[in-house]
Amino acid sequence: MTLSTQTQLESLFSMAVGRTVRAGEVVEVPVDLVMGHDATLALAISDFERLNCNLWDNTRMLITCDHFAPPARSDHADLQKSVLQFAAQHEIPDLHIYQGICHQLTLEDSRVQPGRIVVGADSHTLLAGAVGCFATGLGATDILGCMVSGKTWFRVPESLRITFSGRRQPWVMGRDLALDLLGMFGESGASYQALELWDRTQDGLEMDSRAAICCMATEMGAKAALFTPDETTRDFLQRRDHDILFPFPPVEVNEASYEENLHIDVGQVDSLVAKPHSPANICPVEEVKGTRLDEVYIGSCAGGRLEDFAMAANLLAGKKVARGLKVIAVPSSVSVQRQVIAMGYFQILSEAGVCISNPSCGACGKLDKGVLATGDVALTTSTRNFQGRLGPRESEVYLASTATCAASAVTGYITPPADVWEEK
Amino acid sequence: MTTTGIRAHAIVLGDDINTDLLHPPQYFGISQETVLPGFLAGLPPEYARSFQPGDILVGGRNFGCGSSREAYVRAFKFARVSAVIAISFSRIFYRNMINAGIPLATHPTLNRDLQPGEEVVFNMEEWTLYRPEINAKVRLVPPEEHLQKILAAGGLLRYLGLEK
Repeated sequence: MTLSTQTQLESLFSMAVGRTVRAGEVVEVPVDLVMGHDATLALAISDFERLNCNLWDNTRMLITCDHFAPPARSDHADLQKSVLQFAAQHEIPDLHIYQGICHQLTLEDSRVQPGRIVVGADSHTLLAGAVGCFATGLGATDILGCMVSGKTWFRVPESLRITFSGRRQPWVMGRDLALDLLGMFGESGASYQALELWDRTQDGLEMDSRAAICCMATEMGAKAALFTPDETTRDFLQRRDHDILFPFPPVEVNEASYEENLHIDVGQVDSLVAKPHSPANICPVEEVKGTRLDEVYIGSCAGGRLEDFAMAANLLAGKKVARGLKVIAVPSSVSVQRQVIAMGYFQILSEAGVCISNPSCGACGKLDKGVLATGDVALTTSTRNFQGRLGPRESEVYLASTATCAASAVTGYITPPADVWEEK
Repeated sequence: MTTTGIRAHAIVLGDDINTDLLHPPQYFGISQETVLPGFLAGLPPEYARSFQPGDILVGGRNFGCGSSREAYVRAFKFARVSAVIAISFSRIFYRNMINAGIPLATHPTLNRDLQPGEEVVFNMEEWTLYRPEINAKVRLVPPEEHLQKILAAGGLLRYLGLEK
């Protein structure tokens, strides 16, 4: 073990620029991976072509068609076509058409390793920090800059160190821990800062839970969220890459200065809900128990992974969804979908009356499926419940974990999973 | 007191004004016909109605939180937003505005001080806002030096020399 006086991100940025840097410094850094999808990348491409730019490195790109997947509107199909034409013209090796959500596909990509710098043309790019890299979202113009030059600038962020310990209730998911943090920080409480996350829980947080937490750090205003690489990371990379491709950053006794040093006993966290119209409008599920629902959606980059489907299948096995309720589940990638089928979860959910749609952003963002009606009330695992996010202004969205969503899918109203939990 | 600069009305907004309110996702696109109708369309309709080309948006904390999609940036340009001033900005929104060459600045109380629709004069050389009605000048906090360079160049594409 070595002693460090740097935060993990100070250390990561120091490696990237080849000198010691501290939080607050503005640095220009090379990027390891540039991710873009059919919506936002189309904007960058329109400028790329208008200005006759040259692409820096086609092997450093990851392009997905997931927002319009498949498109329901011809103008969306046109945007997607411009992305497909760009990918063909520049022979982009990593093009994923209708294979899942960009952030999940980034997490599944072997180029995403601890210590790397990943940028994406989407705010929830933070998700990839689950493996211990710096991953952040940028606008299309910044992404265009990266596509052309292979680098961009960052102000090295201050870090909030958060250590999870204790033992979770079996129905408490990473998503609940994310909602707990959102309740503490609010929508801007981590603005311009990074979350440095340590898993010291008794049973460990699976990579799926870590991904949900990093994804939702976006809603706290964070620039990045990074889980310190550990045995869970090693196991995940071993499974994903069939090898440990790169040496792990050394485990350090850290004496760096942090903006805050928080300890969260996960045993004290129960199911939480974000009420309309803010992901940080947090309350215990008990407070909104009984709220009548029109739709339940399990999916998006903040849900829809194997862990979510396992939980949903556990709660819906042998049951039916409530009469009159629209219930949609969307796997976050085809790889997740294949496992959902192999594990028998698809069959269970299908028999329960859940509509399982193709891997994509799904009902998040009113794009191509699952749009709410006027006056609808929905409970979802998605990222945002801003007013009008999933439907008209006159619709309401509550956010919760997949456990809460699945428990509520059976009753038709918001239901604490603890109320229906059966030990198996 | 110098009172030169961009003469505009202030569209006054609150805290946590997110990108879905500024530009709902169904207006995502490239062309003016697609994106301009979405300008401020997630807010109550009086905001979009009262906006005149050249006006300034004045918000509270965490302005522009939410999505990275730059369709809203295009909408801001087509609508001709002269500047955005807020107590604080969400980080992607902040970068996007600078990259597009749309000036922004912070001020700790401006959205509470101004009357909705109040006439103001924005001066980017001295980073001030003049309020003719009360004959007072407000000092704004400009972006960091590195970002002022990008802004002065007219946005990131010009700064990188990609655009003339």
